[in-house]
Amino acid sequence: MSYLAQRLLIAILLVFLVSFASFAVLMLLPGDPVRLMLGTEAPPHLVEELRAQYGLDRPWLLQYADWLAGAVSGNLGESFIYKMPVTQIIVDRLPMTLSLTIFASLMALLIALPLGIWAAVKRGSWVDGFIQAVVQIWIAIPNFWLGILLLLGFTVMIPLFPPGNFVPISEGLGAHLHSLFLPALTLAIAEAAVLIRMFRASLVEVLNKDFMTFAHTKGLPTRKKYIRYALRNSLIGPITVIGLQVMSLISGVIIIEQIFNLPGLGRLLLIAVQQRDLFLLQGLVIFITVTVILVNLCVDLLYTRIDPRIQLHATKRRTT
Amino acid sequence: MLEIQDLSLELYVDKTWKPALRPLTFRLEPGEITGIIGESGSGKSLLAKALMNILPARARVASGSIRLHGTELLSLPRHRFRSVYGRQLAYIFQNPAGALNPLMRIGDQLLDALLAHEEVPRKEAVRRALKALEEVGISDPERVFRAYPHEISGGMKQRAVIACAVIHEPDLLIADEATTALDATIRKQILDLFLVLSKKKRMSILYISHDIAAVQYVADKIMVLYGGMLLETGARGDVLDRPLHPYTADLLQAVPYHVKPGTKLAGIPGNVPPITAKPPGCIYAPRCGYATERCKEDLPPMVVAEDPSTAADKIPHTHACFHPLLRDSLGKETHLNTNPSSPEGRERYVQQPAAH
Repeated sequence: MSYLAQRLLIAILLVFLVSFASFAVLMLLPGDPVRLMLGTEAPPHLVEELRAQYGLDRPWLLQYADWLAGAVSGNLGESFIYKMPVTQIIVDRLPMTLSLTIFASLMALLIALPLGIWAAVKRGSWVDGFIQAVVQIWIAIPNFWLGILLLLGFTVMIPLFPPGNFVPISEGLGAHLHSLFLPALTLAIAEAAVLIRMFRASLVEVLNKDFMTFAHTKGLPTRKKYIRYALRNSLIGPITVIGLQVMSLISGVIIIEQIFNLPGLGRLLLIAVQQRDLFLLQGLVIFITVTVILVNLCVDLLYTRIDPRIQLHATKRRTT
Repeated sequence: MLEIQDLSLELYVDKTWKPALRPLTFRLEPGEITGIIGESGSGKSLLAKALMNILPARARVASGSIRLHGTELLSLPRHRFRSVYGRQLAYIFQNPAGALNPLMRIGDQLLDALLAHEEVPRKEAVRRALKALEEVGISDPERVFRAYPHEISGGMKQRAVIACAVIHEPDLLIADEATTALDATIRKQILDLFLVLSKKKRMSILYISHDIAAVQYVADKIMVLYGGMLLETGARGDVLDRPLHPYTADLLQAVPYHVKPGTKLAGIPGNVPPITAKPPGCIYAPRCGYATERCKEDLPPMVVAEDPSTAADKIPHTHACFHPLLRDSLGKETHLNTNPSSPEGRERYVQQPAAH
């Protein structure tokens, strides 16, 4: 069996287990979607009627079996509150979340890469000290506070960006990115802080390696030395971190979406939990699980592209 | 070719600069292999790094001059070294695995070394890189050219490193413990390769090692370093067969190869003095069986020995000892200045080093 086939099989198993666990937890949690829909004053017979209509009066294992049968054929059920297919809701919200994730990640990378390299090359100097101090502050700043500050600063005081107006990508890429700039920057600052540290630490380690001295005494030009020899050797750590960051971004960033009034998956998740919207929540959990698995796979495949010593094998045994 | 004049180095220890290498003077000539013998902490690696201008931040040149073909290297700006590296000076490490970029194919690293100094069309460059691999004794250069470092053996890696280092036929190759990490058969092959490079390409090689047998095998000239001081220099035969400095003699007594089978290895009592507590006199005095009060107080200067056996030799046999070991007409060691207070020291030197 090939490596990819094995990964796929494990992924399917994982999705199944996660869906079961989340379904079970939702069923065991107190709180009734029907009660939330109709209010606490609703007459009992109406509640019973609605429960029967949604099939909520049956044993939960049976309900899960029903849901699973639908899920396998691509139907994740219908949301109680939106009265729409769950897949439809997620697909509607996905482009914005995806845009924000990619935009914020790229921005973080653009900030972190040069600063991390600069700090590593000038390690021990005042430049390094300054960058480290800035990073320390960036890590300490709470995300929501920075978001509010940016919103206040660049929409109210200096109106560079429209407040709370999300422009979908269908209305032009420029306007779309413009409307996402501030939330992306807010997220990017926090991520860049972690990435700068990562880049600096792994670069410093690599710069002290014998092969860097050897590259130096071969008479290699500085740029070649730093990019082909140093940078490539220090990518594994940062890529792992970027993978983790992308995962957390794609599953939604509740507070930032709230501050900037963005219709993203984070807010959807919040609503689904608050309203006990069983199928919506279940659908979101599945979506996040699949995303995490996919990003992990991408990161693993990237490792092998960077380092020829890393090989992905279908079996656990490593042949050398 | 390379002239080192009164070069001294300092190390930053306990917030002050401490002398790590006392002023030393020597020359390296084309086609000659110079071996530096010394224990760990003798300053031999530091000396090599100083010659390459790759001293770590905690070390610095305190005084002296290093002239390559008459050009002073110590005042050469850092960016000018790029044209010196590879073409005039080359350096190889103890650990060949660490010297190669693990993420690049051997061939690409070799091409990098080649193209660092020459504009060569790709096809021609590849041809020359393959030839370079062949010249260092790699029998299947195509395979090694395409291989990543982890796919070839340690001996192959060291050959590949040497190929990178000598592709521009540098004037001087500094090999810092370059064979220490290799097993015995591979070590001999690499040493033979050094001999070929030195004799055929007229390369000067500075071979640094604590492996006396290896130094004996390749070196024309030997320098003995101890605790940052040069104690003895001379032709290989003079230094190893007729050592003048008690330290050299003691060191040889500690090597199985140089001692008669069945005799107990002597070893040298005590340890190398730490850099923070160096005696004012001879650095070896605290461990030396012949040390007198004078040795402990005054620094013995480097003098040329008037040993009749080396008179005809072109390489002067020098030593830094007030009481050099002398020999009678039979070649046996005698010592006129033996310190009467240490009879066990005297006894050690009665035994003659085994012939080999």
